[in-house]
Amino acid sequence: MHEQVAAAALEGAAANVWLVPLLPFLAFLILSFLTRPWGRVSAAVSILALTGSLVISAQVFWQRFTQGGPPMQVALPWIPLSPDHPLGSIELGLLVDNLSALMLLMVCFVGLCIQIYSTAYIRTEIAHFPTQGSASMSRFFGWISLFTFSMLGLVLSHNLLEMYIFWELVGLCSYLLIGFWYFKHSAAEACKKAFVVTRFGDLGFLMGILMLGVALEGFDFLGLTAKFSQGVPDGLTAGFVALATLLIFCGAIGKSAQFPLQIWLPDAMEGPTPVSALIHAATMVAAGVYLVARIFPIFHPAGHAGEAALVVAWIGGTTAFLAATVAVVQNDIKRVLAYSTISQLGFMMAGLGMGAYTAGSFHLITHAFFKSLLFLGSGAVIVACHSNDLWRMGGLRRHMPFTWFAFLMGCLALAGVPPLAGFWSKDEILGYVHSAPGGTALYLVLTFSAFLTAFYVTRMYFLAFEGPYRSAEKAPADLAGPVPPQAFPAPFPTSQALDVAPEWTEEKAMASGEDLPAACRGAGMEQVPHGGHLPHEVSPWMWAPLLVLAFFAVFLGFAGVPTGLGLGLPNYFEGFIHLSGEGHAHEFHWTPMLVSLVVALAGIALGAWLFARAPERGERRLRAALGPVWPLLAQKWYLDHLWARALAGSMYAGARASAWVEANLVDRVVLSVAQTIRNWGAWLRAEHTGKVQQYALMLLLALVLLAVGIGFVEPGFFTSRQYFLDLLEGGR
Amino acid sequence: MIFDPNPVAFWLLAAMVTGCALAVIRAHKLYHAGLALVGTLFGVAGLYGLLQVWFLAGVQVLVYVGAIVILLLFAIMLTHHMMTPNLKTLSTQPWTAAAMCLMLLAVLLGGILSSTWQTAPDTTVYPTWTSQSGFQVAEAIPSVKALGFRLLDPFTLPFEMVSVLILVAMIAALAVARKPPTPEDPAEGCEEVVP
Amino acid sequence: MSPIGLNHFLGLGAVLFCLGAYGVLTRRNAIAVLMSLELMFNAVNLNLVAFARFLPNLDGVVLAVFVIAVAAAEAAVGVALVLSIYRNFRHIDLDQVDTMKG
Repeated sequence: MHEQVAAAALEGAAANVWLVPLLPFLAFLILSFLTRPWGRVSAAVSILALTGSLVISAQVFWQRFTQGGPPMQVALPWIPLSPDHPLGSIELGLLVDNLSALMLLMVCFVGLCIQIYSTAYIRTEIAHFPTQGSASMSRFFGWISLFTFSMLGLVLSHNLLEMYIFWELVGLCSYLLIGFWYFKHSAAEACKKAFVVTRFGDLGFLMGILMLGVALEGFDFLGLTAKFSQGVPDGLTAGFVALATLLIFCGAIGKSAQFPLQIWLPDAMEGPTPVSALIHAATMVAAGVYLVARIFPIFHPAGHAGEAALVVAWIGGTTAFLAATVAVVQNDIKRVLAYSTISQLGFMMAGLGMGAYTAGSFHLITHAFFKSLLFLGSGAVIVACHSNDLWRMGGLRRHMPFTWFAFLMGCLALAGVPPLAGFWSKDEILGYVHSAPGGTALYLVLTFSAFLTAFYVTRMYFLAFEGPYRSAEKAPADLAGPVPPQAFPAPFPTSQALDVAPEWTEEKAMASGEDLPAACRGAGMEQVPHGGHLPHEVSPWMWAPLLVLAFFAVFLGFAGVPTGLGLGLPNYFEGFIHLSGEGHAHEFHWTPMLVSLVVALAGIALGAWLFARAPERGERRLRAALGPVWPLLAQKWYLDHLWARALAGSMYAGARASAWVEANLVDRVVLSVAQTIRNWGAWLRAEHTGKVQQYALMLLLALVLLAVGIGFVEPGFFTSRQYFLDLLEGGR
Repeated sequence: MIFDPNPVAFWLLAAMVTGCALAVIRAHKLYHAGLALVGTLFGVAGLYGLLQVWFLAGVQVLVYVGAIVILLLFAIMLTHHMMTPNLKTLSTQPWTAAAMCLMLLAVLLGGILSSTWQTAPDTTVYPTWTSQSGFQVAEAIPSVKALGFRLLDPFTLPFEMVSVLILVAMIAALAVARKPPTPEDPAEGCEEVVP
Repeated sequence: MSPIGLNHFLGLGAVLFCLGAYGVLTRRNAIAVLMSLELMFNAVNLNLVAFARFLPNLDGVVLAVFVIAVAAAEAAVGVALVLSIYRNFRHIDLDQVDTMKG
């Protein structure tokens, strides 16, 4: 049965914590069924609900921060199993500890900023599509609210199964919101891709959950992790645990876009920019990291990294490196940020894999702030320039000062410039990896990725905000635009099965002028020409949240300054979020901190040298310097092609096998069964003479046979009254 | 005092019932079969009387002989086969059916003979007849009054449902028996369809 | 002559039932089939009344009353069906009414 785990009931402000996810869910219901025609009312309801959640989660956070104490949880039986089943019952519950309280606050806060921003932003996108109106705004806020509910539920999950439920729910919301402009072919493709790719991981996740939960007779986090506090529990082999945890980690790979399932996240940028900020930068993609942090003791039984943890670390390192390299050559501002997100998630995974629980969580929180800031900033830029293409921007610093300032802060935080938030958290991961045994190679990879990060951030910043405004007309034709895929064919043939041109696209339909549903008529009109006027600052609804987020991007880092630095600041974050088993406060080294400082500055310097004055020349130089590597990067290391090929190959093999089975096994069985029954039918048909009396004769024959049979088997049936009395009591 | 019907009366009535039943199933003329049925029903009524369930004997005569048999005779007359001797009385399966019915009879008799019935020698509730003391009326005669109470106390619902059933059967008989109207002449009905 | 007990009545009922069944199975004329059916009803009623008398339990008589009522309903519907058959086939020979032939 369940081990007794030191956990308190929900008390104080935490007793209200169930309201935190519930309020956005109520908002979702209201938006869906009541206020659908009135977009602004919907936005107000949604924001109001989330504000309520924020207030409660802030109280909860404050309670945890000031009072501490053991984790608090409450659980209700959901699916009661049979009483002698070792699992007892499957429960639904809420778990409030320091990590979930902090995540709650972060999700609510970032979510609120993004929702306020969206009130202005989503109207600009709706304006692109003549057929879309106020109801689309309600739809947007409804789904955002549903997502917020799911994410908050995920954070508060009390056991793995419950987390899996919310895990799928956030996946669903991600799917809905990526495909928000469902009539755009690219959006429809992207949301399908995101859903399917993450599902690959989720399958492993579910299998891992079941393996671990059945083997350990429980799914709840506290019980599971407590069993690993003294090493791998009795009765389990280390290999079994490694397999189960790796399967669970598959879920994190999918959701957090880690190698090799990272391919969906860049395409997810088809969604409206606030969606990218909320789901694909701050919260949902961090769910994988949160999951790993939740079951951290299982990866590190008794404080020692298991085999699975090493895999986690290296997958994180690989992802950080690959994504950072691809981000260098992207022209789409949102795609730069998307690859940057993948890369930063890789940093977190690498940290968690090497045992840096505190550092990984810290980076998760700070990254959420500055990355959502960057995405929102890019959204403002896109609204101002009517383009995603960095080569059609430029000089925005003078035109949009507030956005510029906030975006600059985000860039500096991401690049890792002290004393901004990103520096402290990333440096903590690097420092931990550096001092961890066997972490040197990983440290080098991560440091190089940090250098690349600083470089591509600088490139993005200079292309967008410095120099003259290029606009669509003056963009350099050879550099701008998406990289044409035909320019860099894959070195191996991809299967035609996945490369066929779509049957229907809105462009084709618009060209032929038929088969175009009314709702889709706006799809082709998205690229309206800008009209030549200069970009201008966006509305305060949009830049005010940017400034709020920028404040945190600058100052949040001071919550986690290493105590060894001698600044006299206590390390609040480490005091708040740490494992009881973790080597408290790893030793502080100056070397990695100085190295990362130098690396960041070097990356910025290189970027500035190439792109500050003449970005076109710098880009050409960059491409020349990269040489044969450049097409590789532009084609995302051909990973999409590899996936397509692997999928097509496996699909064909599976189809051929199925066809053989179908023809030789299934058909044969089915046909022979059918033939047998047909023969019987022909035989029985002769008995259907249509003469009632013959039927009655058969009836009587059956009755007599039945009576005789029963008389032989159970003579008491006819002779004993006691027989029926026993029958009535069910004793026979 | 064990209840003891008169054996002579029983065997006479049994012979009458069986003989008439044989006539019912074997008579070539339908009219004779009808008359034999009347005899059978009277015999059964006599058996009820032998059992001193006089009320049921009366019902048997009234309902069966008075109503059902008349109904059947009407049907015989309506279908023109009243006096026509039907040479091929039996269908094509007389021997199979005979074997089957004999088997059924064997099963039934075997069951009856091998069973132990919990008969109660209770002579206080019902009127009794013994060959020694003749017909005796017990103190608490249930007969019709008890039957009436029985029908109205625990069997109220079935009782009422039977009345509904009879109503439905009446309507159904009307619906089935009346000629289907045709579009041309809905009032008169159509010519009979002869396949 | 040996005294008459419950088994005598049950045996007579069984004989009557089998005769009725034989009639139902073999008679060609539909009205004769209906008559045979009445024989079977009477066999059942005889059993019920005998049980009611010998066990003793008055409920058997009550059931017999119900059976008579249902038999009356059955006879009405049966005769209506016979008339309908006659109208459609011009005869009531059941061995030639085989439109249910499969």
